[in-house]
Amino acid sequence: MTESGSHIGQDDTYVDEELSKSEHEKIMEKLKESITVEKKEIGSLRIKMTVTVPRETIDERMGEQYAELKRDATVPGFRKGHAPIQLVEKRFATDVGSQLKRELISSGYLAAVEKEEINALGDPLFWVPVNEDQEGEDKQTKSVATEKLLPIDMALESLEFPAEGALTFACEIELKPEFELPKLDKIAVNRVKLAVADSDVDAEMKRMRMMRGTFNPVENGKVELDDMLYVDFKMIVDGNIVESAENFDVAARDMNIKGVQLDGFGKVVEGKKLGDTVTVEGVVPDDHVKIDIREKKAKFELTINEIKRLEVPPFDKSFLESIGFESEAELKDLVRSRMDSELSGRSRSLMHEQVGDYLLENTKVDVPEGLSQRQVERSLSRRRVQLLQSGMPEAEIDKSMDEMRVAAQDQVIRDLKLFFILEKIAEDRDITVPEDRINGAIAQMAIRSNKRFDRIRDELSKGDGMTMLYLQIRDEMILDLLIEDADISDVDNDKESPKKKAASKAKAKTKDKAPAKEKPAAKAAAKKTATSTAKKKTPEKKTPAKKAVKKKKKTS
Amino acid sequence: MNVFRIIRRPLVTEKGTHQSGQSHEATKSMPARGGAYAFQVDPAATKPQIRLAVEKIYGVKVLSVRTCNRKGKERRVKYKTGKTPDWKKAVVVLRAECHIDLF
Repeated sequence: MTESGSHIGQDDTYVDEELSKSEHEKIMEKLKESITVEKKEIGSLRIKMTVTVPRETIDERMGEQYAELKRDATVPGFRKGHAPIQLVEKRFATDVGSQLKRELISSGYLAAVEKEEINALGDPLFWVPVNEDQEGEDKQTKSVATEKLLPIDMALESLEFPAEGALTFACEIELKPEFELPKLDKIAVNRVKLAVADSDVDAEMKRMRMMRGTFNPVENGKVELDDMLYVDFKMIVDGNIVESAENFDVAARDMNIKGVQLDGFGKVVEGKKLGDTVTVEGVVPDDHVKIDIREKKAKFELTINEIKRLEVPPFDKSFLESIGFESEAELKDLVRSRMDSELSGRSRSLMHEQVGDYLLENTKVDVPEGLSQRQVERSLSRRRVQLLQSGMPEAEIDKSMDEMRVAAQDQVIRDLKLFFILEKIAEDRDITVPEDRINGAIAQMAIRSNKRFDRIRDELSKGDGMTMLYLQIRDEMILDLLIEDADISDVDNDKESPKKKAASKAKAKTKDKAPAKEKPAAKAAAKKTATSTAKKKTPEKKTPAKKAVKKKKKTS
Repeated sequence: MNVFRIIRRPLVTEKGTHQSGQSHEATKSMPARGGAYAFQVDPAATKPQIRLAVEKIYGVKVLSVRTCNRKGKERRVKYKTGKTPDWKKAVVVLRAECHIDLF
């Protein structure tokens, strides 16, 4: 019984959906016939549209709504469905009015767009009469009636439904740019031959070992660069101890202690022993948390309590077993195949970049101003959050905001142009992303982030994630298709750089204009080089460890 | 007594609406009869007072007034019993040409 009941329920909802769908289509048809639309260009790729829904259509829809409501309305003193229509109208006037307003404005807009065959981009903004408080000459706030552009949700609250006469509303829409696609076959593309060198594999394996290394105490030795030190320290500014701590851990390299950058700290402590006291000086930055010590000289007195050094595990069977491998060859194969796939991915993305550049250079696309502006703001706020998270002081971010804006503008316009071009190609060639490909991408993300498949999918469907993923896969599919038809010439790895430069001309251009954007990148690069030098220095450290192991072997 | 205190509220119910729609043609037994409208009135109000009040408030001509006293209903909240107040209902029949718009 229950089963059949549930089936009936499901069928009913299905029928209801079908009905409401066809009903919606009917309303749209009616609206398309009855509405009058006025279009006015107000800038490049932007129009103002004034839509008028005649009173007859409103009354007709209202009558239909009330008739529908009368069947189910429960009014005290009457059996269900037996209340007189006048009473129902009086009782539910506000509800029906607001519902009708919502329906007529949103469907009216869609009908107008279809009727005028407008290629709209994104959601429209509606002109809404608003009362704003303004300060007058006598310094008293007065409410002044003005008009504001608002998104549909907010506009529906403020727009009034007319008791008499036609419903008129005005909105502004951005239009999709119209353009001709360039020739898409035989695009000249250079394929860079990237090969994994043995030295790269060795370096990667060294890195894996270092990650498994442990810091062990050094009893009777001297401090070496990159050692871990436990120190008692005092921070002295103008003869006063500002900060002090016991067993504070620092590394024997350029360090930032309590907000003060100490360049050359590693050199100073190098060669010191346990119990030694070291004095280092630095300048407190102008954005330090303690305002009274800003831009002053700070002296640090550090007494070394403990020295710890990274010991990298020897490359033996136990190490291999600990990471789940049986032989060195097996590990090497895996590392190599991983690096190979990384490189082939890189070479593919280089080719994608070249195709993208070709499309951008050979297509004339205008980008709607408002949209690009919004995108710029969005990307700037994203960048701001990133910088704040990376610990950059707010004042410094504000200083470089203008430069960042210019850089973001170029990048955003480039991205938007490419988006429109790829969208048009997808439309022309009827390219859609199959479900299994999206699922595959989600599954890969799940494996990478070690989460469940459905969890990642739910997270993505909460925001714009799913659309973004769809677009990303679609773009890749299009670029792959274009590369299939492209005129590919193979280039050696050595020649990569000039070709690459040519390919990423646009990128270089944006970088030229964007010193602000380059700054963090430069910093990141500097960090990378710092870490790489650290890595390079590790073999020096390893030697004592190796010696120790050898010694152990000898003694045993 | 104030006319607005005599007539407490019109009774907008299915039966009342039905009776108010009964025209003079539909009720041939009473040729001069218009619609019949029900009101809740002050229990102390008399028929002549009700007639005057309805005529004054709605600007209509009343043909007849029928009244009845309704006993309040017993109500119980847990172990406490109570009673809703008694009230008086008046059915006012209007002349054929008159009409009251209750909605």
